[in-house]
Amino acid sequence: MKTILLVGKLNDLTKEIKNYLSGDFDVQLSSDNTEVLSGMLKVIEPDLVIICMVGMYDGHDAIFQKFQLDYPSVPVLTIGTKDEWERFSRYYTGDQFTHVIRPVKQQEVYEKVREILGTDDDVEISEQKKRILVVDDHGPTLRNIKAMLDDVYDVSVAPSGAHAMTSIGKARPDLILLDYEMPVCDGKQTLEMIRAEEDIADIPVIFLTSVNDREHIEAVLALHPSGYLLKPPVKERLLAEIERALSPSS
Amino acid sequence: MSGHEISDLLMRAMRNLSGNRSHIIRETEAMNKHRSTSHYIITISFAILCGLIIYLQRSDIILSTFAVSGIVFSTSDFFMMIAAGMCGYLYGTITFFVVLLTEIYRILSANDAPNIMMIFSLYIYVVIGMLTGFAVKKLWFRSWKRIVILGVLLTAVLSISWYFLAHYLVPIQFETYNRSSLAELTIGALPEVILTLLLLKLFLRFSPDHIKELFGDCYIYTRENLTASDDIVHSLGDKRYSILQAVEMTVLSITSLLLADMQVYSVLESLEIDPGQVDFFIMNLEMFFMILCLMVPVSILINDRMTKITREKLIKEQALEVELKSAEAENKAKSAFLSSMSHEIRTPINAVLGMDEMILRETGEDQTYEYAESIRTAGNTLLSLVNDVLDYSKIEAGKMDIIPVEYELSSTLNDLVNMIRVRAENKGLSLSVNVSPTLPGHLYGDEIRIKQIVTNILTNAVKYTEKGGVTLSVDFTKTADDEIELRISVKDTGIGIRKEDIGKLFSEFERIEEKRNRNIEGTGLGMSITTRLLHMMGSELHVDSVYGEGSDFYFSLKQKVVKWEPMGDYREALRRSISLRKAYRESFTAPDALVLVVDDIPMNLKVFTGLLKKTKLQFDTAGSGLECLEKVTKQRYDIIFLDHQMPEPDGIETLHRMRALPQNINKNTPVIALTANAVSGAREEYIASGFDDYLTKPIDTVALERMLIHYLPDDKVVLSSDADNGASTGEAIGITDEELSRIDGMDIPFARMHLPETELLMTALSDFYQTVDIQADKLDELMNTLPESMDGYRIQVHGMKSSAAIIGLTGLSGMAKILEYAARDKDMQKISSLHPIFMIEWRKTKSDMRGVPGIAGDDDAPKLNYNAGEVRGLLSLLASSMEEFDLDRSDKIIEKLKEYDHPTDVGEQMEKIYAAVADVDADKVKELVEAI
Repeated sequence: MKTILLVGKLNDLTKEIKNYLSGDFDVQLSSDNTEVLSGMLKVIEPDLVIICMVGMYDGHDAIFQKFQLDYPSVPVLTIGTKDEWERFSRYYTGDQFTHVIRPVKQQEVYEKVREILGTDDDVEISEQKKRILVVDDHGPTLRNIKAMLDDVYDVSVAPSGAHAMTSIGKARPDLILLDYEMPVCDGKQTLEMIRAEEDIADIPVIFLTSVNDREHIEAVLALHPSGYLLKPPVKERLLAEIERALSPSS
Repeated sequence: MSGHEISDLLMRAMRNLSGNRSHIIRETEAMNKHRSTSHYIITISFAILCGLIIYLQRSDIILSTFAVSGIVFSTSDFFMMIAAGMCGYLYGTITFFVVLLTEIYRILSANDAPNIMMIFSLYIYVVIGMLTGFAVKKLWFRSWKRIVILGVLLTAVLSISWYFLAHYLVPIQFETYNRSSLAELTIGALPEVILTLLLLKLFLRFSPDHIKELFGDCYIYTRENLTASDDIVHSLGDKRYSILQAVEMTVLSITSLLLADMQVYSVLESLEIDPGQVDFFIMNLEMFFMILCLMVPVSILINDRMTKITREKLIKEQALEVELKSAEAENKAKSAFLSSMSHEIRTPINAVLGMDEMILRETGEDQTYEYAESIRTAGNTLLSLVNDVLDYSKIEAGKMDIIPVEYELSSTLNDLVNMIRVRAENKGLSLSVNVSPTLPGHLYGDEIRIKQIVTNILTNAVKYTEKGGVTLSVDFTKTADDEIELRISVKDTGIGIRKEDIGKLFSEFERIEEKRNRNIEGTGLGMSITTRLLHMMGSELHVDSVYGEGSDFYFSLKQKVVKWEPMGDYREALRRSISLRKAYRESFTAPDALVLVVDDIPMNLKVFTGLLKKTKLQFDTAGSGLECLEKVTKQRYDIIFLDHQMPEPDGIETLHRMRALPQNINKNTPVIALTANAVSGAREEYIASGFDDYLTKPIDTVALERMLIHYLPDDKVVLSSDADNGASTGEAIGITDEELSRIDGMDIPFARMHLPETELLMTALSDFYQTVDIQADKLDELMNTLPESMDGYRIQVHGMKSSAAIIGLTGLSGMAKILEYAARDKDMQKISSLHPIFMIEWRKTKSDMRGVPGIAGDDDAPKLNYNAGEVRGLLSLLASSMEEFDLDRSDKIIEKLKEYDHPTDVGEQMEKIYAAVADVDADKVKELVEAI
């Protein structure tokens, strides 16, 4: 998924653009403050920068300069009224920059973005890494498991059943590692929620639990998970178990 | 003959007759079983009835005889024989006494007043009664042949007696017999004899068992007894001693009578009266028969009673004797059994522990690891118990020897302290060691036994001490030029021993206050072994103890001094030895070395090779001595391990044959004996047999590896310190087990098992470090709102349990587990007592971890100037990333954030943010970011 950095004031326009593009791109909002932006750029390597010129004043020319000087290979799409474009166009030139004049339909912006970024063929390729969602209320455990799996899988995490459902809704994982013991909505309830939704009911779920009472184990097994592992997990065992659950035969 | 002699005689007879006590006991049982009250009543009534019938017969000659064609047939003996046969010879005497008394009454009341001495003629009843009675008892009625013999005997006795009586003793009385030739008398006696025997035979053969049981000795003809083995039946019927006794008494009486007669004779002579006028012969015969009539029945009665008493006593005595003998034999057998069990028990334990060791090394599953750990603990306990029992049996059997060798005192003490330190620490006891630094370093004595003694005492001290500590003190005084008296004392603050219990302390299998200490494991042999060993070394164990306050065990031992050079500071020596040992622990690889292992038990081979898997050694195995002999001619090995206990040929013989084998190309190869039989002096024995060294089973991996390093050619051994060890323990980012060991309570192998790559481990440690406070704060908060927040508390502590476990903080995770369970059980008391301790321990890990490079972050890295805007950008990005739970990006942001040189107040907030990110707490991050 390509990353877009959306620079501008937080207003309805930026929100709309973000929402519109979010389905296909990873859109990251950034303030139009140059320093904040440069802070963000330390972390984010955008494939495209969109700058909303609404409310920008002359001091913002530094932003354009920054992209021109420090990130010349990153395409920049500016969105602004004719006036705005005229005010700032003198600060930037060259192929790096493209401009759409406001008012503009979201669809047009989308098409423009597509035009710049090209079709998303490579997306499919990168998606070959299977997605795994780890659900655990305990942060360090989430991190440990993620660290174990990161090399092989695309790992996302969720600290609760509710977050898990959101995450599943956003991007369907190929497998879910589910902690049994969680507050509010425990593993059992989470699994029930997953199983209740038709289009995600078939996602294999592996339970991770450190409760090893017979009673609990039986309760967990009664939910027919694809696998069952005791915490703390051992890396190889975990990988093997996931592999097994993901293999087409199972 | 005195009573004692008689009983002695009887006893001897008894022994000869019965052969072994089981017969007697079973006989007695059988007798008692059948002698019911009705038995006595019926038997005695029947006997009396018979006596009365005989009396009636005798009072009228018509009743006692009948004549057919001139031959007179007697019938008067019939009832006597029947009575004796049915009631037994014992109750037959009752019949006889009835006859005797009635006869006396008849004679006395008769008008013609015949000679009272005529009573002696009744002896015939005695003889035939006894004959019939004994025949019944001797089971003669089981065979017709014997019945015929009995018939002949009875007829002969009757005819000869009557003939004798009629013709020599009382001719007048028998005038009624017209013809009194022997033949006539014989024919006259036959019918009653035949009738008697037939009736008895029919009765004994065909009457139902419950009837037989009612009569005298007939019970031995019951089905039950007849189907029993002949031995028992014979012993049941055996009454020879009674006859012997009766005959003996009779002979005795007659002899004394004859002596009396001779005296009378000499008196008459001295009075010048002609003794010829007195018919001594007749007189004596009459007397003889009189005696027979009186003495035999009486002696039978007495005998029977005596026999019974003696027999019971005898049975008891013999039973005791047999028990004593069997106890002695059992004791011997026990010792032999225990010694032989040495091998038999240790071999399977070896297999179990060895395989378990492999599970411990190879399992990837923590649950399995825990199980295997338990097996190891239990196995080692079992092994030490077996060793205790073996030692004890060796001492018992006198096989334990004291073998003095030169030894280094510091190393002995090191071993002792190392051994006990772990145990004391596990129980939370302090261990102090006071060793005089002036102690000579090199001594001569049985180091192994001394170690064993002190180990026993120390182990006991730890076992019975719940709080406080154990102090080991070692001191000495010089007693001669080359000798010191070594004083060793072990003081504890344990439960102490009551004065009256001190004796029990030293008795085997007994444990003081069994009830109170029942959960303390052990054979109860430890102290007994200790005192015996000390005794063997010419010393003894002293105990000062105050019940409830503690005990002081001490002893002194004379030890020869090899070198007077003082040992120096004990702790220094200890440290030296520990660092040495650490070096030993370094494993090695030797991929080019070829090792031959010979053992007849495939499991042992598997264990052996499994233990050395990591060394990459090349293995060849042989399942027998013969196979080994074949292999050594074909292949050159670098080292050979040879099991001692194998079926023919055993290890020693295999070695000898190997050395003698001309084709052997392994003549210079070191050969190490493997043995499960760890007897003292084994080493010397094996070396004397030609082995280069020996190794006890279960195999101690460290000892084995050390041995391999020593015996393998140097060029084939790659010590791991310069092998790939470094890389695998994470040399790259500069973390070693040594450094990790600064984290108190961290089970490094456990952590590495879960997080095999150092990077993973470091990340986990660093995450843990970051969240230590957050987690603790959370739990504290929940603690404050207990019990409403019980469920939250449980889940929080549950999470803490997992995160501590994965980085090997097993102790901490254990505490968390207890708390988790306490929360589950809503046990407020337990939670409130353990929570503060847990919190202290938990937070303490943070300071421990700060000492490990790479966990707490690198403080020395150059810092960027703080830029509020940039940081704000990063933070807002962080907040949104966290909202999406994009940990990768969040972590990247954190990394960037850490590069700044934050002002103090922001820095503090930052730390909190880092922690919240590590804890994957998006809400908290958002909250903190907004605050900045």
